[in-house]
Amino acid sequence: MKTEDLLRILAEDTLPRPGARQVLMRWIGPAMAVAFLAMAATLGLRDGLVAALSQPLVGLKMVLPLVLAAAALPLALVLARPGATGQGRWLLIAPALAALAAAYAWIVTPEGARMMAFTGKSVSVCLISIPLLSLPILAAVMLALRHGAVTAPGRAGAVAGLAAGGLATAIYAMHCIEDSPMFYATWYSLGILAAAGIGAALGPRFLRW
Amino acid sequence: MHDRKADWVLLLRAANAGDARAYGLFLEAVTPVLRGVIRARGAGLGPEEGDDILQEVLLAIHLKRHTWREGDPVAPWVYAIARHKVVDAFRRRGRRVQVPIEDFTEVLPAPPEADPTERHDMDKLIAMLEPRAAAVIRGIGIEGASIAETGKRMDMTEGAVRVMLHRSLRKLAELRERYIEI
Repeated sequence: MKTEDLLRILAEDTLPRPGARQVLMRWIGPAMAVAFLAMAATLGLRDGLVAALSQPLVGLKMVLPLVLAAAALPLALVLARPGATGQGRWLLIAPALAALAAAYAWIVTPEGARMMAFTGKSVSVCLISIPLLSLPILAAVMLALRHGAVTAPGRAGAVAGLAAGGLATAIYAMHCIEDSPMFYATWYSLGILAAAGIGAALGPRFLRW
Repeated sequence: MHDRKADWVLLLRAANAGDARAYGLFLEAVTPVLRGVIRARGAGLGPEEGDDILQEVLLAIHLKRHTWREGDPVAPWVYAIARHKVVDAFRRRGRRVQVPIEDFTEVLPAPPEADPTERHDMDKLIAMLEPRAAAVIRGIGIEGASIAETGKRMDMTEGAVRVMLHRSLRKLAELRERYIEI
């Protein structure tokens, strides 16, 4: 086939395709519902959820992952547009605030209680649950990115993983009773980084085009 | 150079608003530039193999055309897609190639070489489509049939022809990803 023949074919194909943003809007809600139901069914909501989360330093464990996701999701969509340059600096807001909250907690926690507040009792549940709960959400974000055109698949996958990890962590926080910022700033962050690692590993395979 | 890029914006904007003729002109306008890029990077590639890669890049631009956002410049978008596909095409052909982004701005548009031979990769891929889809593609491309004529000839509605054409192009890109590794 000659190139001019191909051009004629391409010009005849006028059907629109859904963009990455549209696909994301369609699937992110259902994916989060799946993660929430999985959390509620296997781990369960904590007692006194609303009362606990309405204390500022406790509520932050749900708010900060959402802040991270709010930065990562738009960045992922930018990375699905060839030639567009993304603003990675918004990703730093949540970790910076988490570090401040953890430092504050370290200061106000009595010396003898610090180690306890830091290690808590559920590190392993936390580190396993966050990446697992992020999987359905990661699938939705990756599906959306496949409708775009990612030119840096490892990086886009990692950002997708951060977004999915952030949203999964906000869901996990409704179960978790560890309320010290020292705990969640550390272990939630590691869980989210694991989700980002999964995204980075899957990106080159699933975001090809 | 500046005028060329301004034209691209106008054409692609009109194309996205449903102007098929503007879209055809857009594709015709970017083709010589892409050919120049591939020729400049592909030392040792014959003109035939270069045009195989060109067709691959054009198909990619087509299938990803909705990732250009109204208001963004078109040239960096075209170059980013071309760069990605050119690097990928060379990699699959077992060559590593560095394509610095600034190269694209210096490349001169290249006319088609006096080589009327038809390209092979695309024909092989079209042959892998189911027969009716292949007939639609060949009818429009090689015989220059319109959507309406194709519909009449194959006893399909125009809508069905459009859907089959669209799906076939996506399928061709998938098949290329899977099978072309020379």
